[in-house]
Amino acid sequence: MINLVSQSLQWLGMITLQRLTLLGRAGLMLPKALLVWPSSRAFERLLQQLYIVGVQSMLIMLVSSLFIGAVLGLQGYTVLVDFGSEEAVGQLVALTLVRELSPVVAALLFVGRAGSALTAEIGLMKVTEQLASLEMFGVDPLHRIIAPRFLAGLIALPLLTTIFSIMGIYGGHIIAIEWLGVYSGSYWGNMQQSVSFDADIMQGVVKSLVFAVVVTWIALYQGYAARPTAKGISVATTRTVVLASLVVLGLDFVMTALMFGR
Amino acid sequence: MSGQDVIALEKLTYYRGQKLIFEQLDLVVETGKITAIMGPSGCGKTTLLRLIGGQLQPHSGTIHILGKDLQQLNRRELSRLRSRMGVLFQSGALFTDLNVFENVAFPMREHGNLTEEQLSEQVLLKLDAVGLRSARHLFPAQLSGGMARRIALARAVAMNPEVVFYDEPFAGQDPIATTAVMRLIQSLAQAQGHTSVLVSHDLAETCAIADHIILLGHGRMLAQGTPTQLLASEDPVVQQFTRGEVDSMMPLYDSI
Repeated sequence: MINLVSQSLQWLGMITLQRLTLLGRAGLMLPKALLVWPSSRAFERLLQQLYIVGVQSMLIMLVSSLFIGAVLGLQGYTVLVDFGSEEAVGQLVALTLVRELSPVVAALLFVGRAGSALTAEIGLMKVTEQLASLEMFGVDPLHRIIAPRFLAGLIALPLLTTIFSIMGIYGGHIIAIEWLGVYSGSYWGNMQQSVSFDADIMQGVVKSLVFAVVVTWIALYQGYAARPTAKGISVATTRTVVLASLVVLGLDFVMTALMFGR
Repeated sequence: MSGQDVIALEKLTYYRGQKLIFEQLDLVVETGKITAIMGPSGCGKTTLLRLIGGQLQPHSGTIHILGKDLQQLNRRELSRLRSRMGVLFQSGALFTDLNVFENVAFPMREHGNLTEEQLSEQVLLKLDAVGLRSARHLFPAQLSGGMARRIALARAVAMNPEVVFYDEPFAGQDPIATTAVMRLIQSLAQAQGHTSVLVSHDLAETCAIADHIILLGHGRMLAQGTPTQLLASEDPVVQQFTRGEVDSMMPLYDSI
C-alpha cells in the first residue's frame, strides 16, 4: 500500500516537473526570439508572414462571419418578434459579435487555418534540417523563424477579428433588413446606442490580442519542439489545434468574468 | 592537438538520454585531407558532426576545432567559427522559401560585405562549380534529389570555408548523381584547399575519395587508416564492416 502511494507520488512529481520544464522552455522561447535588435530585412520577413497568416486567412473569416451574422440575425429575429422588439436585432447581433463571437470564433478559425500551418511548417523545417542549417550559418532560428511569425500572428488576429465583426454585422443586416423587413434605421440606430466603444469594442480587441499571443505562441512552440519525424509533426499539429482551442475557450470565460462579471 | 589538426576530440563522452553514444572518444582530423568517419547506421556519426558543429554539448571531454576549444566560446565566437565551416546536411537542408540563387547567397548575405553585383558574381561562380547555373531561378521543391544535393554543396562552400562536413553525401542518390557528388567533393577540396570530413556508410564511394578513414562502433574508434589499410585489415570487426558480414561473431550492432 505504502509502495503504491509512494509510486503515485513519484509519478505525480515527475509529471509536474515535466510540465513545468515544458512551460519554462516555451516561456523562454519568446523573449529569446523577440529581445533582439531587428535586422534590415526583418520588416520584409514580417510582411511576408503577415501575408501568409493574415491575408490568406481572410477568405475563411469573411465567409464564416457572414454566415454567423446571418444566423444571429435570423435567430434573434424569431425570438424578438414574439415580444414585438425585432428592432433590437441589430443590437443583439453587434453585441454578441464584438463581445464574444468574433474574438473567440476568429481565434478558433485562426488556430485551424494559420496555427496548424505554422506548427507543420516549423516542424518540417526541423525534419529537413533547415533549422540546424540556419544555426550552422550562425543565424539564430528563433530570430529568423519564430520572431516574424509571432509578430505577424499578433498583428493579424486582432485585425481579422475586427473584419469578422464588420462582416458579421453585415450578414445580420442582410437577413434582418433585406429579408425579414426590419426597419434599417432601427437596426443601425439601436446598435449605435447600445454598443459602447470602450466597454464593448475595446474589450473585444483586448480579448483578440490575448488570443493572438496565446495561439501563435502555442503553434510556434509546438512546431519548434516537435519530434523531427512524420509522427512527431502530426502529434504537434494536433496538439496545437486541441490545446490552443481549449485555451482560447478557457481564457475567454476568465476574461469575460473579469470584464463583465459583477 | 598538433598544428596539423583541424579537429581534435579528447576523451569525448556523450549520452543521448540514458544511452551512451561515445565513451572517451579520441579522434583527430588532419588539415587538407579528406577524412571519412564510417560506421554502421546508428553508431552516432551524425551526432558526432553535430557535436563538432557545436549544436550538441558533450557530457565530458574537449573538442578543438580550427584551434579553438568549442566549450570556451561564447555565442558570437561560435557564430564566427561556424562561418569558417561548411556543412552539407543529409537532406540538403535547402531553405524551401528561397530559390536556388538565394539559398547559395544566404551565407554570403549573413556574413559577407559584398555588393549585390559581387554577390551575384560569387553565387554564379559557385553554381558553375556544381554545374547548375541554369537552375538558379528554381525553388528547392522543383529540384531532383541529386540537383538539391549539388546546390546544397554549392551553398556549403559558398564562404570558402576552411573545413567542410558532409553528412551522408551519397545516401539515396542514383549512381550518376553519386559519381557527380564524389567528383565534386574531390575537385572542390583541391580547388579551395579545404579540409573535408565525410560521414558515410557507403564503403566503395568513400574508399574511392578518402585519404583517411576512421571506423566508429561501440561508442569508440574501432580502427583508422588509409582505405587500402582498412580494406586489408585482419581485424575481424573491421572485416565485418568492410565485407558486410551479417553473421559475424562480433556483435557490431548489438550494443548500439
